[in-house]
Amino acid sequence: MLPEVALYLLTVLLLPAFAGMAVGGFGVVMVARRAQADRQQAVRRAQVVQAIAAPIAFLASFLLETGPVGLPLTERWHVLPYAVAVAAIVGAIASRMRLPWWVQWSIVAAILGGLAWKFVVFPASNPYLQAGLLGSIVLVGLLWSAVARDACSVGMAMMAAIVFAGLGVLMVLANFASLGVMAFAVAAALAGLGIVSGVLNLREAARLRAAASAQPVAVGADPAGAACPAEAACELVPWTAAAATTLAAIACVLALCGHAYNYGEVRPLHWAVILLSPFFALLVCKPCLRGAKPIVGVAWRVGLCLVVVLVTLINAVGRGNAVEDAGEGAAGSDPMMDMLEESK
Amino acid sequence: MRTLIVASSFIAVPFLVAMSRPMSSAPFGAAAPITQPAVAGELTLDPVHSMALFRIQHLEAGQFWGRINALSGSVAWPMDDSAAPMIKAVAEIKHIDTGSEKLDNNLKGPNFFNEKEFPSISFSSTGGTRVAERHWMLSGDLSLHGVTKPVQVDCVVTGVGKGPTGKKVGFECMVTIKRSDFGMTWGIEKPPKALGDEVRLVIGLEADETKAE
Repeated sequence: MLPEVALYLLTVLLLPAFAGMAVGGFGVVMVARRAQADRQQAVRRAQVVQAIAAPIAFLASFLLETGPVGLPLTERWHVLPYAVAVAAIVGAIASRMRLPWWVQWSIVAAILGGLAWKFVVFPASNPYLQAGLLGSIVLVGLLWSAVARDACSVGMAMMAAIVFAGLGVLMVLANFASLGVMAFAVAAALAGLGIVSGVLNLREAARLRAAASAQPVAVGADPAGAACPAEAACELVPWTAAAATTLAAIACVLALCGHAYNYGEVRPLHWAVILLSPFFALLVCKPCLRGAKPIVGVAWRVGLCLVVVLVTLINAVGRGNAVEDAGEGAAGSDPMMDMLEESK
Repeated sequence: MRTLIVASSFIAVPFLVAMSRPMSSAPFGAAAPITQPAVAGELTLDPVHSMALFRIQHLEAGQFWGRINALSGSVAWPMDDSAAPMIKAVAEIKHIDTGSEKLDNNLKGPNFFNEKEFPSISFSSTGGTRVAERHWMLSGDLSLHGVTKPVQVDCVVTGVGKGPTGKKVGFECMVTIKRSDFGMTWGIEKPPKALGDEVRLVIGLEADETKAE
């Protein structure tokens, strides 16, 4: 039994995660292999594949866990692979465009929000819930875009990984295990992408430091600045606002799906807090970290995000247990009432 | 003359009615399907005493039992057993009861019954073949998880008694299905062998004679 379970997890979780990580990581590796002056095109291509890394992990996991789903849909949640595929295409195209971050965010949020509002309809939906989905894609997309601008690619990938892992736990608590597995696959892909980016960024920083130490340092120059001459110079593939908004849109749709099929004690607030947890990363703004090593900044941001997610999960689990205890206490507490009910 | 006509009509009408009904003394085990009862008593299911038990293998080990309470619907069956009971029964997924609230919620979720989209299971018999006295093999349509498939249900009339509102008839029906036929595949291969594919359903029904309005 144990080898079969291990094989199952390998199939539906690790394999899709590896596929997503490989796609995203391939772009970063391609950039790292090129000379600094010759990177512009490679970075743009890497940003495109960065936008589709997480969707690929989700789609692979869905395909391996649930199998292909045709049209017309037999169950409403089977809209998810279509929604994620569309999000990936829109995110990839918008990432390729040379546009200011707020334009990228506006385009992706408007298209994905509009499509989700119209076509991503789960059971017990109503106009308010659909408007809420549209609003959350715009709002969470804006927040994640802001975080992507502020944090480095490692921090962004790790924060997104924490959010998707948190959503995965909430889905398991909501008795939607298969969607939980898919969220974990996305989280693992993002974490893997973060590790690849981190390793290559550190190597780039070391290379720049070595190159700078070989040259004479100008009088009055900042040694830290010499290590990383321009802002985020050690950053091989920064996240685009389009990719961040795409990821946020996928997270919002998954959260709404988990909420729509919730058979646990997960409250709407739990989903919302986890989606908005990267906000806390913004509390550690760049000037506070000037002069500090990049890894410290990543640790601060990811740590703050992680704390919020953990507190939310503990609250959600604790709530479930409290209700269960109350239920067990209530069962059989009044046999007369039970008999009365039965005689009706 | 008038007296004669009235007297003969008293004899002729029941005779004609009796002739128009199918022969109830057909040999047991006859394979001829009987679909239309001549004078079927209309019975209403008593939800308090009607339930469906389901059995499924867990982790290739024990046979796990659960039940769905409060079945509703109707049965058309002539009390003389001259025709197959025509059963229309509905089980609402919200009444699932395994003895564990956690497990109930899991079963209601989209990995299994998906109660939000498919809130009920229904069976509607379309005909039947007599197996023995008060024992029928019913054919009908089972709708589960948004899929409707024809099934054969082994159904026994367990007794006819008296209730507060009139006659009360009990039925016990059994059917084994493959849940994968109805698109419920979670736990068969993924995760591997967590739950079996075959589900045995034992349905206990109690139906009351419907009183004329």
